[in-house]
Amino acid sequence: MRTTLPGLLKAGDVVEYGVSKIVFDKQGRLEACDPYGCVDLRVPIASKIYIEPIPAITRPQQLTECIYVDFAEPIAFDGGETSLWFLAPFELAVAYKERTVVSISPTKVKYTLVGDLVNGIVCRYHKSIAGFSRNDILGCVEPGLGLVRAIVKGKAATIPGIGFYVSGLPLYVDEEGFIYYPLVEVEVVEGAIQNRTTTNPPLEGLKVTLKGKRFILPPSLTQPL
Amino acid sequence: MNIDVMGWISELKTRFTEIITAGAIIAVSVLIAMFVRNAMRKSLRRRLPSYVYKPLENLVFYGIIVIGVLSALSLFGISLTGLLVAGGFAGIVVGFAAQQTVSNFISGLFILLEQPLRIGDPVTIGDVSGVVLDISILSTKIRTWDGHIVRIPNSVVFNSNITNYGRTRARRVEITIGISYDSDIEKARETLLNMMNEHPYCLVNPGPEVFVDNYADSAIILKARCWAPPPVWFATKIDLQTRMKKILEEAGIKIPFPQLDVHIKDTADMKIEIIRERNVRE
Repeated sequence: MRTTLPGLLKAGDVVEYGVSKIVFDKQGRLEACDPYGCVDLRVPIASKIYIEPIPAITRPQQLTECIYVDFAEPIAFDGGETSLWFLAPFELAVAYKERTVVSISPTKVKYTLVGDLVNGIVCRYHKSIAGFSRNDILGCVEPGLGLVRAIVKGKAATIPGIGFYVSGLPLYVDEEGFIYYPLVEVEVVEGAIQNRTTTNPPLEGLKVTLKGKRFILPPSLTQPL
Repeated sequence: MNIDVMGWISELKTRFTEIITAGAIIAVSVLIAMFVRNAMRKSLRRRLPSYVYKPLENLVFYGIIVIGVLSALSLFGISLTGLLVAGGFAGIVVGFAAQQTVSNFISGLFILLEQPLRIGDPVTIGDVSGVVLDISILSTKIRTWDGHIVRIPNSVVFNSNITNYGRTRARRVEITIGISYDSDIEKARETLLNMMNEHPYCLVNPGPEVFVDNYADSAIILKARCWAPPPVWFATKIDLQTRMKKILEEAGIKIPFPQLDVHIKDTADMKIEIIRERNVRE
């Protein structure tokens, strides 16, 4: 199964990526499917259809603006500053003439509540292993999963997972085709973790995937420890 | 009754300018209020959700009109303090006439300030359930689940029990199902838990649960619970409810219908005679 995304879709192409499938037949019928449904469109055969990764918050419907990554093994953070790497899902936007016409999820969707029932927040859920370097998790990348780098600062704590806002943020891609979320800044305070997503790439030399789009700087997400 | 018409007309003549000015002040204040409301709507609509800007709009709109009316009254020497003092007797008279209106107005202000419900919230107010369409200064409009628009006076809203389903981050979906007594309870539990774990809207935390709720006459009653975000609560409930039967049947779990086993305990001998069937044609 392919892990790199095809950028451009030509008439007659069939792309299977994770649990999603996109068919662009020679009659101009574009069908994009995931486990939550299919969307059929008809577009001019000569048109350029792009597939781009976007933050995973729109499928099956937009209920949230954040992702919570639950670590398979909680991270023992001994204070100071460290870099954490983990995986988070992304979705595929099928764009025609610079406009997203449909988005689909290449991974199965689950949600979770971060915090309590009144003041908490519902986020897209994913369980991932976490490591202290990019190489620790590179072998676990599957279709539909992007890499996240978090700079963790503050007090010593056991970190069970990290939730962060992703709405309106750019994603990045490297030369090998790996997708990255922007850098997340995590601060461990007394009894809570405050996470702020930046618009900065997690590494140097990455290219932004959605060119020319306006990025919204999200607020910080506070999760109880 | 002797009415001094001439005196009244001359009084009207001397007050004519003031009456016109007062009318103009009220008209201008209404126009300003409408202008400010439209300006607020245009600038705030894109930045704030409707449940924030609409109450703000209402407060500013009615605030400007009240200021205009008070300014107009001051031309006749009536001040707010005077109104409050003189309000004793007049208040009683007007109070009886406009008791409900004033009550609705005051309740409306409290609702706008306290915000127990917002536009777009799914709510139950007393025995009316639906989505809040509008909260004005005198009444609240609800679109019921079956599409009717119900106008509830604000005093009723304020004094009723309000259940707001939109304020919590997650709402519990609860489904009850009976399985037959010869079915494997553990297998049924596992099947239902898997179904909810696979469902996108059943939250991971708080997690789903399945337990035996009751040993009923014809079935073991299982209760399946999961938490879902409020906007998709109903969709999740009907989806789980629909899938449940098929999934349990595929797992070999029987869903029984009401049945009654009759055990005859009478040990008295019964004489049974077998009569050979005769052919009808014979």
